[in-house]
Amino acid sequence: MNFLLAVLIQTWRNLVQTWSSQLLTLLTVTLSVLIFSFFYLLYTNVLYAGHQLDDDLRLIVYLEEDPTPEMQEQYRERILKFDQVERIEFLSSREAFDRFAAQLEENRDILVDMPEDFLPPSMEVYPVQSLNTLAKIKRFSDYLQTLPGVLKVQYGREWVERFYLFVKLLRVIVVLSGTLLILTTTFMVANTIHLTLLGRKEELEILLLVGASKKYIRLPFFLEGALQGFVGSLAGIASLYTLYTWIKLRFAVSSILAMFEFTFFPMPVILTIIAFSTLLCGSGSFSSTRKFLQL
Amino acid sequence: MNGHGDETGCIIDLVKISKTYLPDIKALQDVSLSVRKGEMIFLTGKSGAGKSTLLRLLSRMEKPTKGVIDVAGIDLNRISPARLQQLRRRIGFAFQDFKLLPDRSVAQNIAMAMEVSYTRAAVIRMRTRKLLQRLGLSDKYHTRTSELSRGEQQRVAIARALSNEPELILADEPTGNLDSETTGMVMDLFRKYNERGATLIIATHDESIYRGTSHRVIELREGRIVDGGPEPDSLRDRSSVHANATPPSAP
Repeated sequence: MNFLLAVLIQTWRNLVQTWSSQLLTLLTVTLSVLIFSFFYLLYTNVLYAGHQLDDDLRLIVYLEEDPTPEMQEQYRERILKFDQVERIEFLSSREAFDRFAAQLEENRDILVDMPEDFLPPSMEVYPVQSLNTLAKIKRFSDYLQTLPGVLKVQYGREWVERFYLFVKLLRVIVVLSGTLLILTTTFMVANTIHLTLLGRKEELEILLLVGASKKYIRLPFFLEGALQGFVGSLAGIASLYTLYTWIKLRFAVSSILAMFEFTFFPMPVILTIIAFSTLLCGSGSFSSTRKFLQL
Repeated sequence: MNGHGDETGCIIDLVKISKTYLPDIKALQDVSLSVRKGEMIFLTGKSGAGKSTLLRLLSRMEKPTKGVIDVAGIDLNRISPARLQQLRRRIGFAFQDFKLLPDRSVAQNIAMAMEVSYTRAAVIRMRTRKLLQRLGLSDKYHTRTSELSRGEQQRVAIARALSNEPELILADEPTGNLDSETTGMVMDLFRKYNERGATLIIATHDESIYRGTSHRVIELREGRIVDGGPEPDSLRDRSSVHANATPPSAP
């Protein structure tokens, strides 16, 4: 029998002997991973939805008068000096009138008596994707307001503010729940191992007396913890996927959710969560053994 | 692992060993002893004479208050944890209190000593069956040790001590719970191991097992050797070797 086989046999024995407490810890790990990954999935999808909205985000700058081509060039230069933008479109009063009329469709008759230049000319600034924080958008809007001949800048401020507040809240929840759940999981695993150690104090004492090496005693505990982390995170992710599929089938077709394309974690993220959980639980139990055995 | 002890033919050297338990119980006082490889020694004396303490010191379950202990050429006062575990795999210890796991089977208890040496499963099974047969416990292979009598438990503890083919066997009152027939069985087994080269130190106050023996009988009284003490030649040499040895720290 080689070392690895001996350790694996010992690990299997430990698992069989303490299956009830192992099951409880496994459940804790599964729930912890499920809760954390649920919020994380929500966060990543909201961020993704935010990116989708960013594509449509534009700042409408109303001007006092139709800018000449030279003025347009000056505006373009000054805007680009502040930040990169995807594109800038100028809209004369006449073009604004035509667009408005087109939008009114069969009700366009109400514009019959209106002068064609009653709408102010404007320029529409489409920020680049990096403009995804509220502060940045605000700064950009404030800057545009300082340009000469600008009447007003509009970008759906209230909506954008609410959206980014929501993203910010989600980020806090993800970080907090992540931290709390990491602490809970590590504590639970370490505690289970500690209880196992207490229950097997006599056996460990005999093992030391018959010459068992440190590795022989400690590795099975590490493997136990790592296994709990691995199986628990796998079960957690699988539960989340089941939940995700159910929500998508049940709600996504007929509700607001249909507006956005909801996605599950890509494989690298799944593997990272599983690897992290495995390592966390393994090292938690390993350190618990170290303290207990004072090896 | 081949140390000084191997070169001189000694497996154990004790030089002026003392062990004092708190508050001031002197279990051993200035004990010096040298044991050659392949020797069989009976350690006798009344209860509390220091027999068990001496065996516990030899397996480094405890540290001496002062003096030097050398086992298989290794100074136990300076041994690293890893090396100690290696050494323990070469020592078979039949404990007075058996140290068996009650919820495990006889076979599992015996296998523990071999598993830590990564012995193959087939060899473990074979050795276990053989030892149980020799100790009259063939039918107890799968029995939980909690279901055994004291005498049977004692034999299981002996089987575990012998299972790893140890170079040094320490047996603390190995026949304390046995009748004369099983005592004979156990002693025959010990003799066989001794003939194959193992060194045995048997702590006992059962006079019947050493009466008329040709082996050395050492008597301990109040923590001192009063009869059959050190092998003078080797001890004299070894004392000079350890003249500069660091004394162990007090417990």
